Amino acid sequence: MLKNSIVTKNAIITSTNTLIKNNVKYLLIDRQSLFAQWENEQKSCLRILYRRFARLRPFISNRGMVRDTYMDYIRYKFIKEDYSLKRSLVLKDEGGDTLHPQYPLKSTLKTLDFVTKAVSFIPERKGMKLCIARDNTICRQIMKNLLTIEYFKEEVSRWQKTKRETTAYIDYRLKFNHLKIFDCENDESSKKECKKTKDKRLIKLRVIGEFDRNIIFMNDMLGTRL
Amino acid sequence: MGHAGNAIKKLLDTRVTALKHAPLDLPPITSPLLISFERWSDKRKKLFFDDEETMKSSNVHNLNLKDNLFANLLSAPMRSEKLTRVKLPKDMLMQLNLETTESSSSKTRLRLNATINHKRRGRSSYVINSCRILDQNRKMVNSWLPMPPSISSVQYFEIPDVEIPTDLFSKYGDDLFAILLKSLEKRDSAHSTKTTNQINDWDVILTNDKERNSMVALMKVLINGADNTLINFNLPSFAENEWEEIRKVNNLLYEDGVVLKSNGDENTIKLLYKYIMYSI
Repeated sequence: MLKNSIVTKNAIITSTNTLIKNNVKYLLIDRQSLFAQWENEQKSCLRILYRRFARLRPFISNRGMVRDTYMDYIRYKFIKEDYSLKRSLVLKDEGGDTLHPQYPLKSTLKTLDFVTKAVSFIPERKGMKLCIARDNTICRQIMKNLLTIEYFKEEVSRWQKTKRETTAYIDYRLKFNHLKIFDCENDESSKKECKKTKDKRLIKLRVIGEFDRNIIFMNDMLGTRL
Repeated sequence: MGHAGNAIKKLLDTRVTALKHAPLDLPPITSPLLISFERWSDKRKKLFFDDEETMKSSNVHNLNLKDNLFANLLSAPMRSEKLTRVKLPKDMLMQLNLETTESSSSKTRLRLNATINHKRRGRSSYVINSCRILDQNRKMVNSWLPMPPSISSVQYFEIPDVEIPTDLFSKYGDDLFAILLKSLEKRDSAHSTKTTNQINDWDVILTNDKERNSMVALMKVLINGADNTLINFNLPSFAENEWEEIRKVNNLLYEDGVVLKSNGDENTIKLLYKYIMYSI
């Protein structure tokens, strides 16, 4: 048992963390039925998955603001985002694995696993460090950084009241102009076009674009859909 | 004392024996403050797993992210970018810091410097790692200085006290390229045998194709029956002889490209990424 901890029926409370012992309701163990249902009842499957993401909300952070950002992010991912467009702007292939009919389900499940990894805890003893714990830490750091960037995107879109019409909303949420900025990587003619502009909006697009581009590269390697 | 003291002692003794025989009949604790202390603890909540096995059976597997370039880049601590005030992982940014000038001929005491291997100590600021954008916005360079020293009591300085070299960013690029070249040419055979002599998932293939547009791409390849994703960095900046030299010392090749291992060549891969982003 962990040192200096208070143990209750449902949790172990240490000096830094509250560790929830009864984790069944937060995990999605039975996946076969989801795959079986997917073809006919996509909507109900997505609802099941959305609920699982929402249940992890208290684990994301102690701060309400971060938890709200997480929910806004999940809601946007489930309802609005055109991921195939976003992906096609970075990876210029025909679609790869994404063309498989069960790809959305598979990738969402892997993303759920990624978020679960980011919020899980495994006890380590002195002299017995676990690789999986380091791996989970990397997941947590990525989630933290991702939510910081998502907060920025949400905030710049919120500045004007009619959210749908702001350029930031169009840039980061609808058309993904921040990912198009890398198209001129090595092409001299388009490089010149990029050179014309010096304004802050384009620099911001480049900064956020680099982050999102790396997220998409990572997604493609892990099979997730962050 | 005398009688009174004895009487008190006797009284206490009888109480203790009385308590021993009849324990207090307290009601069971039902206060949620105690039985559900997790609700009030105000500590960061995490899902608890007893051991690695239970974790794996709950679909929480080891993804080996430490060998993934992008996961490493994305998990670096966030720093504020000076041009836009947006926070970004520091491995994607260029670090600027101040160093004291050694020569007495120099009028200023401090010089602005762009570091390739980020320093952990001392004060530093971070700007976007793009030569083109930095050059275009050069007149704002004064606002990119690491701010804390200017208001620090330890070392007070005014902005004119700092020398800002005119070739600050181009020198950074040249140095970065030189270090990169050295690190690619240094990979001798001893090094290659240390890592497995076979291409694995997430390895980097470095090419020198002057025709191709994109500098970073992913490749899906089938190696030994397994589906692998490789990262392809295309860097056309190498001169013919430099590229030949790199190909000669690196005995692990894939088609036209040189293979850099995801576990073993992390530093070279990071330098490559930095240089590519710098030149875009």
